[in-house]
Amino acid sequence: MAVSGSDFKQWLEASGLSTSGSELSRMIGVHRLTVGNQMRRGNVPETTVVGIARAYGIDPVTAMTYFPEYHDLDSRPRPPSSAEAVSQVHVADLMAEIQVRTAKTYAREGHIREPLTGFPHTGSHRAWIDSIDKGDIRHDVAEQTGIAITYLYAQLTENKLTPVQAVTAARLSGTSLVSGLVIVGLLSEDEGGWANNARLEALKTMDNDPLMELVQQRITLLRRRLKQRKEALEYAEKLAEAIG
Amino acid sequence: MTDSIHVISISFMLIVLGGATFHRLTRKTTPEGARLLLRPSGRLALMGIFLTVANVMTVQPIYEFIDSHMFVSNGTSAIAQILAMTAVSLLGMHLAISYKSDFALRWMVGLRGALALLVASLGAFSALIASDTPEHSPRLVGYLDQPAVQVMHWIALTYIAYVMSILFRPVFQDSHVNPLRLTRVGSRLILLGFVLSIGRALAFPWELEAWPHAFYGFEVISQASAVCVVIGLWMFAYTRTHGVARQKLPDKLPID
Repeated sequence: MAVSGSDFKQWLEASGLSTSGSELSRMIGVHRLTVGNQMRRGNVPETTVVGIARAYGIDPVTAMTYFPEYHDLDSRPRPPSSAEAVSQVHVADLMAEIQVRTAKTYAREGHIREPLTGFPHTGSHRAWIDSIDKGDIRHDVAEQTGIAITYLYAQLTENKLTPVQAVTAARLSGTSLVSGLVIVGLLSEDEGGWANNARLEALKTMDNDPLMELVQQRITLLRRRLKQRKEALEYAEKLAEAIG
Repeated sequence: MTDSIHVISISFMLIVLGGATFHRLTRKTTPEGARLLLRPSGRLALMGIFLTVANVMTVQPIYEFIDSHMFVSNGTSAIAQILAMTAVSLLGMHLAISYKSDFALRWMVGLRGALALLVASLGAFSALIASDTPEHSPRLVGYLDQPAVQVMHWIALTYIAYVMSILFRPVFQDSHVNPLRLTRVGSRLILLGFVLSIGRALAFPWELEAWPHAFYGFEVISQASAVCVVIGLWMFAYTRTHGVARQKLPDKLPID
């Protein structure tokens, strides 16, 4: 998904920025023809908009609100909910937190190793969707963005949620609209209004029950991934053995 | 011009097929020699031998020598054609078993597969007998205007298309779902080879209009198809011998 080329040009003009493709490409550090080609094709990725906004010192969130798809981006508080923040904590850090809470050796230190593992990580897009799901959000997102639900499942498995899908999901669940863009990696945590230690604080203040449940979910996901990897290897090896 | 196309393409085919088959039989990692033919993957070596011999037989001096000992004039063409069809049949059987496709197994392996090959072979011989070809002519190129000769070529193309149509679905599926990039590309190449062969068989009526001048041009399509399949199969062999699957698809937990 991307914003339209005409909207992009209008935004550049409205913001008083250069409309030269090569100039813009140079500013965001891509090949000189890249932005020009994107404009010609009429599909400008959100990463280009954010890159240009950053290069000219414009708040990326404000820049994005110029485009119809993201017009309401800043209409809700930017910081994520605790559940959203915890959803981006890696399973290793979640388990470390369990160690701190259950083993004397670790409890004495009183805190887990910092900084936390960065995101995105395996299953982080799916974990975020789970954290904001109040019903059948996958179905609704697929319907509103006009894609098959199986395709959305595949995207979540591969951590490839698009910015439009993320904002649509946030819009449907009533949570921060900006957080979705942080989750998909379009915006940095700072730009998205996340506090420096938002994830750590959310993890520390999390009750035991939801923590155990979350770890269990993540372990189940890891087991599924491991099984998929083993099956893929077995399939590839058997077929190569049979045909070759 | 057409002769040079023929010489170049046949030489190329002999190098590719002969080389691959020779390598398969004599490689240092598994020096099994002729014993390889007794193993499942030996079907491919056998296929390579048949196809190579079929191509060798179409080289003018060899063709004339063999044909001078034949009980029917230009019987060598029919034998070369049957060898080529047997090679395709072996390929079909090998892929049907490897992909474990019920449909392909039902139609390629066992009585039905043998019957199809037998009918095609008898058809080719009958067409040769029905034709009037007194002079030695590899692939009966000198008699392409005769309907019986055209039928003979059509039988070969149809049989090949038959085998490849049966295998199309499993190969197509694998070309999309195979988790390993190298073998996925291999499946796609095999699929491309199938498409070329099936396409040529379907376009045969139009091909006839361009005969005899463009005969070798159309033959290049079949040879390109064979090369695609051979390279695709080689990719699977490379994956197996070099353990590419285990290198590229580690069965470990993902590390972020």
